[in-house]
Amino acid sequence: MGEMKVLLKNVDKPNSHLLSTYREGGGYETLKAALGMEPSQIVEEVKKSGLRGRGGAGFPTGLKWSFVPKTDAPKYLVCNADEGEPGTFKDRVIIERDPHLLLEGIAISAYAIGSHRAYIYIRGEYEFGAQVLERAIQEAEEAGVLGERPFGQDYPIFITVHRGAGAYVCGEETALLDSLEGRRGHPRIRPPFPASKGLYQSPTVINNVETLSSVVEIISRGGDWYASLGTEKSKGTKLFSISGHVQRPGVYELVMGTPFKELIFDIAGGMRPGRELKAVIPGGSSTPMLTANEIDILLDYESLVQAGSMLGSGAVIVLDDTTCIVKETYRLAQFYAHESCGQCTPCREGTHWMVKILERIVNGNGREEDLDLLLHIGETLGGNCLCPLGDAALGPVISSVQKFRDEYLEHIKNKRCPIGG
Amino acid sequence: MPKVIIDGIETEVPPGTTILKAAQKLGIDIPYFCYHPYLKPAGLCRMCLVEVEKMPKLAPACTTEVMDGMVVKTNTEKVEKARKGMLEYMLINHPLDCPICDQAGECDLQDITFKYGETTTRFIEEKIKHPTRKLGPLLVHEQNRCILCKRCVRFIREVVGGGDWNVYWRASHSLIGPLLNSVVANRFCGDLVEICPVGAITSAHNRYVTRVWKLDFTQSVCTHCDIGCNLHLGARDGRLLKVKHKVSYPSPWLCDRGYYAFDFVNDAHRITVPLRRADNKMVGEPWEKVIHEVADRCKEAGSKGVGAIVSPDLSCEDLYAWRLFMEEALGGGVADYRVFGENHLPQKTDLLFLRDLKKESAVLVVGEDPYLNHPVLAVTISEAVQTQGLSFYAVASGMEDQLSKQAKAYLNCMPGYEDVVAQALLSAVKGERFDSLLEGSGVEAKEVMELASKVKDERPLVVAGVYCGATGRKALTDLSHALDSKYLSMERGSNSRGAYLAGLYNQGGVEAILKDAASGKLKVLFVLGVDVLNCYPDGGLVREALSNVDTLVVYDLFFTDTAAYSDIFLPATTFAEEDGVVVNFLWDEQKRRATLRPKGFSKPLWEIAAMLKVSMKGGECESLNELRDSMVESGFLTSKGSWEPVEDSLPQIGEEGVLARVTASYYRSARYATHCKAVSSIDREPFLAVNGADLEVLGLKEDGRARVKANGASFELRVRAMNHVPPGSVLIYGGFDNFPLTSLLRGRWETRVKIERGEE
Repeated sequence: MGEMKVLLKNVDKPNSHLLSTYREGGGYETLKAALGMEPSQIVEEVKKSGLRGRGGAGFPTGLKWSFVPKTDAPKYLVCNADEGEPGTFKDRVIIERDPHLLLEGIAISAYAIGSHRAYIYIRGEYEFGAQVLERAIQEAEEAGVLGERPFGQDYPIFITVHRGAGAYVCGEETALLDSLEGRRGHPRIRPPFPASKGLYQSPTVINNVETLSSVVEIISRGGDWYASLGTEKSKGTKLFSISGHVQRPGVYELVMGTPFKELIFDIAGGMRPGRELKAVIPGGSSTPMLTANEIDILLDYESLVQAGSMLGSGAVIVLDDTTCIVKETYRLAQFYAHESCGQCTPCREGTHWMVKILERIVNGNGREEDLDLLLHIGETLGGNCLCPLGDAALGPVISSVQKFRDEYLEHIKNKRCPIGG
Repeated sequence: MPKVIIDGIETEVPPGTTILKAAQKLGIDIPYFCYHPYLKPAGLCRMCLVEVEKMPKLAPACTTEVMDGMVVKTNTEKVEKARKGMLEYMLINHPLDCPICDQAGECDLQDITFKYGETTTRFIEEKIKHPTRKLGPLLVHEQNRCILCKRCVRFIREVVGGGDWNVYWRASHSLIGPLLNSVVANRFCGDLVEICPVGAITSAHNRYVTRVWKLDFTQSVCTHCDIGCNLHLGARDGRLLKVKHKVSYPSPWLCDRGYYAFDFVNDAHRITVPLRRADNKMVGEPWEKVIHEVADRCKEAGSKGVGAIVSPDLSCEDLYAWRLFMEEALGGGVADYRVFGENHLPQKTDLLFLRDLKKESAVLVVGEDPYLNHPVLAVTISEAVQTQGLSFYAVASGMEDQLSKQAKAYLNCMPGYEDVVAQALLSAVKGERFDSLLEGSGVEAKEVMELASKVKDERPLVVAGVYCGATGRKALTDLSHALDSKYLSMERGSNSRGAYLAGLYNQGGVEAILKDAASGKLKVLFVLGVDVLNCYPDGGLVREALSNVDTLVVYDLFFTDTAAYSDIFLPATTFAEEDGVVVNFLWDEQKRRATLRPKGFSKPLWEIAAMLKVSMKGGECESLNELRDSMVESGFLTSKGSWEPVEDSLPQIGEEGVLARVTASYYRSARYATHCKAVSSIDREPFLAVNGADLEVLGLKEDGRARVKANGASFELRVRAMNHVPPGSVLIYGGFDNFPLTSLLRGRWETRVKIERGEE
């Protein structure tokens, strides 16, 4: 347990973004070998590894791939690099510092599902990342490891970078596809699922940057090796981007099942002197908060679900005792109300309503019944939306009202913030 | 077939049926806003959430397909709670201005809140407010009331085509509307009003006019073209105030002529007493006196001396009664309904329903722009192109971009050459030579060959448009026989097929009648329900005929340009004031029911015909029911036309000058458009449409003025550059009363004109 550099093994090398650096460390050898394998073999290997989607939902990757129909129709692989969740910045490290790892992962995955064309949908704000990726693709195509004939094999693989236009909802896979097709990014109704009708109504697999990057090491060292890391249901290593009130915020790669406290107090350097931990948002802003007493757990999918939250994208936001939870929640609720696509009623109206209520409480005009009202809004909103954004918006609001009710009540009774936030 | 249990009732439905449709079949009410039976389901409003066993969350009934053994519950506490929640959400930013909202009374949000909602809201914050805006002359957009169901967006995208209308901004600030400008550039604004479940998109025309529950609705048929869309006419206090399209026949959509151009019925300028000319003044007279006078003059003129030009918009009863009058009382006389100078008769059609068009793999339209002449046909084609990949081919002159850009091949021929190209196409399909035919048509042999090869492969439904003459229709009929494909022909006038069945046509058409009147052969001329001076394409001849005939009897709503020549004026009833049958383009008889009493002393034509008959022959006036009985007995409505259009040659187009076609712009092509407030405010003057490339050649300037001369007539018109006009020709968009552009013409709608730059 603890830190282990599998995905991040190259990022500290000088000129790590260059093809030459990547190939010195044995890069693209896995792709070369993979192109000699049967695609089904690769899928099997990934299934064996127990790799689960690193974008937040944690869906088994191998299983997702096996949903793609085995026909001659064009298939697409889309890499979701729309890293928009507040607190998440793990993919950025791979994109900017080790782009070829991602490209190799994409190429292997594309080959595994029978696709010749892959898109990287990168968030609009990652301008530098997009440049790095485009340069890397050019380099790789010129070197003949990607493009028309990768390694002389008759299996063309083309990768295109597409920059988003700054909408959080485009990180949702079907909205991403709409945006990629040149339309307004609005989530689609499912079914049909992208695996059968995705991009341009063709079978499509959408995976996160980290997921696709993990594929390289799984194929090179075997699914069994990967499965030997981590806990029973959460395998391998995972990137955590820890931010907030810790001494050494940043991206760390941990083996699944590392104790949460080790991450915060040891690896990330702990609290600032004289400060106490108040709350942690464990997996990106949409996951329910945990209080300081609740983090005596391991970092893996199951443990966090057991604790009433989610591992999500592994974006840990640490809040110490200088934080006003009400204001923090208000800020997050504002984000979701702003980013709701506005298609379906509950998300559009519910997120807006929650902001209005929280705004009143922050401004000292709250009422005691507002807290129950917030919980009640959550009941109508939760599970009734077209896409997961509505549920995501509820995470911080509901958990903070439940866990920090006293702080809300203080705001309401005293009409001011007890902390001064 | 999958079996499904909904609320304990088991039913079998075809695979692919949604829960909502299955529930509707069982009579179980599931509320919805965004679902529309003629649009693709979207699952946005979340109002139709139902509980499905083995599904963790509530499922939207409009998008979830039924699977075998599915157990659905629509009446559980969980569903009820979700419905209450959704309604509370809907009303968060919806203003409670129901007391003044035009939609109140037929508002889905009102009805569903009444049935499923809570009486109070817990929302105490300020609502988001947006300004109300006018979207062109037909629509007012009350943005506050919008519940963002996106029905209108989907209607534009799936049916009309084009992305002119969409959502902008995001989340609770989302607004809906046209993106680039504030005018809605399509001819289905009325449908936007109709499909809006709340009062967000409202008609600018009857805004704050009446409460909908105060209207009496009667089923009727639109009077503006031969598609014959079913309408519900809403009347109150003797005024026609609202049109709704409740029956989805022949199409679920209704164009703006039908939706907006109805208020001529209420116009104060209507003449409602019979008039008789005395000392060069029109003087009101009682009916008996006028009828006696007309009867006397008919008797004097004898059977050879009476002619009648009848409107193809009158009902079958009117037309049949008129034929009886001419046959029985007069013992002869000539009558014709082809007031637009057609040289053909209506033809049979293979289509049973308009929706069958969507089953075709391809459609070939020759000789009209459906978007201008029959928008409902255009929208059916465009919907099939958007959603089913129908191949659309067109041969026409100056077809607007809206439809032509959806065509796989579009031959933009010179005006008046549609027949020629149709013949060439037939020859090409048969493998005969046709090069000599195409001279001057603006179409190259290669294009015709290409189209012919596609047509041979795809065997399209052949549609003959209104600009196809008898030769063109003959060629197209032969083409459809040669290809073994279906055939559909379109006519001008909403009941021209009824007039044909009534036998109100003769050799030589309206032209022969006018010539006889001009030469003094006819003593009495009846012009019934049509402003023939602005409608027959030879203004000079009409004027001569009207002034030379001894007695001119005009039956109309308004004192038209034709009526100015009349000796006797008979006040007419509108389509909303009399019961009657009309025959639409599929040869279906449809009934117009009287919504209003005849205004003033106006009378339907059948009654006048009966009175004249009694006055000349004696006996009793027959009632409408007796008339109908004899009409049915005579086998009147059993015929469905023949395949043979009449072969009559159209006059040749001259040689010198620029080829021009006179047509009516869309909104002006509605009947009595001048007297319809909404549509008459759109195109305010006639204009000359010139291809942008020709502007310089003709020495004209965009938005400048041009003087157009032909056949001794001359008009000064505004110039507009429009690139759908075939290069080398011009289109003159008219359709205005007191602006008789027909004076430029000599028997057909195309002519050669001289164009000079006008005064600026």
